[in-house]
Amino acid sequence: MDLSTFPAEIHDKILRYLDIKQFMRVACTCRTFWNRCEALPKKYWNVKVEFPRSEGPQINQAIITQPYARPMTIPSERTIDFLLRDATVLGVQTFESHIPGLTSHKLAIGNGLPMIGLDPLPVLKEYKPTGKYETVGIHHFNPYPELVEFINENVANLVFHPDVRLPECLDLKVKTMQCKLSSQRRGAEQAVEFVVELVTQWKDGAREIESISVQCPELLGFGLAFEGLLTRQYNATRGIIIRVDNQKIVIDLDVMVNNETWICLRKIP
Amino acid sequence: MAPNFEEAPGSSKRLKEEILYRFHSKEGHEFTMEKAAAELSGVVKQISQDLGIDDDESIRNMKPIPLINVSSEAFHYVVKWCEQHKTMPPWEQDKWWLNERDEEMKKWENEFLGGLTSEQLFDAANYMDIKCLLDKCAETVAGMIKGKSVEEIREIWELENDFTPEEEEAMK
Repeated sequence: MDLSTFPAEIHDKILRYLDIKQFMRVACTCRTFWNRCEALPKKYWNVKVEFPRSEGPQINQAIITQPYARPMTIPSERTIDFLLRDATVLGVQTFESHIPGLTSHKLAIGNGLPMIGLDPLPVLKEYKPTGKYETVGIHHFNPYPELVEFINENVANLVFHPDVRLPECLDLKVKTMQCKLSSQRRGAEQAVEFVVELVTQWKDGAREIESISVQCPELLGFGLAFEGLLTRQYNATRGIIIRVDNQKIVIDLDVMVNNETWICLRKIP
Repeated sequence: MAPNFEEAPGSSKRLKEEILYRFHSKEGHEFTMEKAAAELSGVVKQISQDLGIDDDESIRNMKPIPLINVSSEAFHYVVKWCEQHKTMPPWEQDKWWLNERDEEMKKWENEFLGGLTSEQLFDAANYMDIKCLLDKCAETVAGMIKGKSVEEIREIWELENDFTPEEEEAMK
């Protein structure tokens, strides 16, 4: 089929269904596609990610999630530069290995830095402190335009976690996971205790249910603490959905079981 | 038991009962499409709006919409697609990854597009502004080059290599 006869908008539609490797190959086919590929990142990937040189070997393990939540392996620094060349957000580190003493859990709770899952924008907006974010950690980066715009304006540093364990780990055992809040109470000093019932549905149909009690000083802390628990127990690094409805907090886990299984953190208005 | 021809698609009884848009293909053939299915097309919606067509009777009395860039063959498949998708929620254009289809629909779509030459259908979807079909065509065309080399992509998509040797060298 002769694609050269199609308008640029159609080319863009096709390009967004490609992973990075395919994207790069298409860019090298002809001048038309080179120009489209070069233009597209400005629209969809308007963030520059710079990996310190010392992280070279790990770059191959990084995953950036495309806007439609399909993971892509970053093949090289050059590719990153190609895709993400408009620099506005700098400072990329990995959590455990490159910020000594800061595990993802400590990062989340101790420092109050939001560690964010699939759609961080609502959370970033909701919990924006006075002034701008100094550092935001993002596991699976999902750089759709509104999010990128917010990060550009409000985030000084983007902490990025090259997470390759999640899909492999969850795909081995877990088919679906559900989480529901079975009880809650407010204690002294605004502390909130949640008892969370975590239901794990295994591939063979067996179900395991366990309760997790979490105490946190604030709502954000709760979400991240729970994420920390998940991280430790399941190697899962996604967060939770938090609904705030008439002072009641209801949590829910949103799990996608397709190419990749994860639990995402979103704040639903 | 004898088939009930009165209930067959295109029968005079159904034509009276259903709200159908009429179309003329590039070759001048007349086609009909049920209202909900036809209105997946941005062009149909726009034409209706421009002509002030806002009730069923007006649609019935409307002249066929000329689709000068859509062949009869392509339109035949467009009708099938739209009929299958007419009850789906409105298609998210900018946040396309939010559009969800159940497994049955995905299977149908893959089988539907699997046997087609996408080019004509892609053109038709683009011309008629049928967003869900357009995105599926884009996905299908993207899938054609999975795992292919640069040279193979050029061949499949009929692209001419217009880089200079120096530029090609720089890409390596």
